[in-house]
Amino acid sequence: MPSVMVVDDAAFMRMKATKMLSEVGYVVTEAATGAEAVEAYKSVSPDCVLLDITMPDMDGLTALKHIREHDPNARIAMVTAMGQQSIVMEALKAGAMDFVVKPFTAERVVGAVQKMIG
Amino acid sequence: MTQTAIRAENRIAVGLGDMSVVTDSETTLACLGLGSCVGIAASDQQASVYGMAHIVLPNSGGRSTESKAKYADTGVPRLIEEMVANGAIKSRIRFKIAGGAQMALSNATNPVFKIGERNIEAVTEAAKAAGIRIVSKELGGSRGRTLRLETGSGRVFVSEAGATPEEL
Amino acid sequence: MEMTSVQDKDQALLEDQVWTGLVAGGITHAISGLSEMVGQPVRTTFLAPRTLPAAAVSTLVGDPEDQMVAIHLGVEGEASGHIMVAFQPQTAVDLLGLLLGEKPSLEEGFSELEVSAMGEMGNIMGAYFLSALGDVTNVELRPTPPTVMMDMAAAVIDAAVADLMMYADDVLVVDTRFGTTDQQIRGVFLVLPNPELKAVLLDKWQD
Repeated sequence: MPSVMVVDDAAFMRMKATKMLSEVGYVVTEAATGAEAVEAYKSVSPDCVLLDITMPDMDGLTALKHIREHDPNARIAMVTAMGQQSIVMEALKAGAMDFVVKPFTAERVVGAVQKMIG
Repeated sequence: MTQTAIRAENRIAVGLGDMSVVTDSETTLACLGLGSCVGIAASDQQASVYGMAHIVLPNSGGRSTESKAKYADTGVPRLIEEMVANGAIKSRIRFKIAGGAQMALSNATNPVFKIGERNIEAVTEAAKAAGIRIVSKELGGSRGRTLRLETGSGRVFVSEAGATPEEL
Repeated sequence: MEMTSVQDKDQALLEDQVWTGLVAGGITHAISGLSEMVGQPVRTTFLAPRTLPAAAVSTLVGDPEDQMVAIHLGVEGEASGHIMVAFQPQTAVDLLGLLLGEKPSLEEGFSELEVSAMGEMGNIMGAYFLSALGDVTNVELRPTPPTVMMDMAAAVIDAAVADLMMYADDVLVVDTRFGTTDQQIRGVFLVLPNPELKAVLLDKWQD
């Protein structure tokens, strides 16, 4: 079964995303900071990543760049409550494939994952 | 209601950056809900002169302000001055201080939350520079506190949210 | 001379109207974020941008010694400031019931998951507020990760107020109350901009 890495500093958001994805059969791993996500990506090599933007200890945009440096084919969707144009553009330029706006629904989360690895 | 440590006579709530000096024996001075701020309860028991200051920030850096006790470096000398002007003898003034917490249930990464620590240092230094002894203190940690000074008896109490006051 | 002062007055009035409009738009967006999260309609019941002495700001959260659950977000980017969202403890319990499907007990204190859910709710409200302002003015603003507190009303806000008192004795504040129609959920949303934040937004808006 394809694997998804969920990165968010908020345990509540990790729990929600993990529940939504494992219910439809994905294998989910979690990371709580950008720095942790970069390390975990190297060892786990998930099929795709859902990456929060606002995090202490390396924010999502920086983590996105580090992961893409390590694996230029990494499939990453950003998750954020910030729908601001400038941030969306910066993430897309850095190689993000999609944007999921918080608070998210199961359809949107599963849809983003399917779009990346479907 | 039974009468506990807190009396029902004159109560003065000393707000952020403010100070109050009194010479009667029936007033309770209070700093309510100190977070990063530091409250100073000052007494010259013999002369019956009491003061309280609600310090918000460590250093004025030369900035002027309408608030008497906004900064530790200017507020502490000002408190002593006003007490002396009301009949206190400087060498007899004693401080009891509380506050300077870092309020947070989760990790506080924002540097704003470090203000408490810096306030503690600055008040301690200012008291030392003025030659005033801090005889007891309840500082730091992550909980808010209320500081009360009962004039007359000169007793000082500290309480956390929902808890019984403890004598400082 | 007289002409200038009338123009200045008009200019100040216009700026106040623009500022009120900007923050009202942001707050509507923030409240819609909360509403989506809890799955219930929530509306703004009171909104007042004003300048207050710092000591008065701390009483906007509640009576100084009242226990409150509060979420603090710093504002970063082209300008800075603070956002506070505050609820009475029982309201926070009800909200957590909506978010997690189970109400926590106040006596035992909140678990890590419950603290994180409160933080995320504040984060969504703050981020929605700032991105609405950003969309209108093109000023880039973002929230810092949230800090959750449960303590006396005066204590939870005083570090933010202290930060603003570095600039002046008076503090600019946008005081907002919101709630569900049945009033089961009621809260306070405070925006505490550094003086330059308002100036930057008005400046960009006029361009």
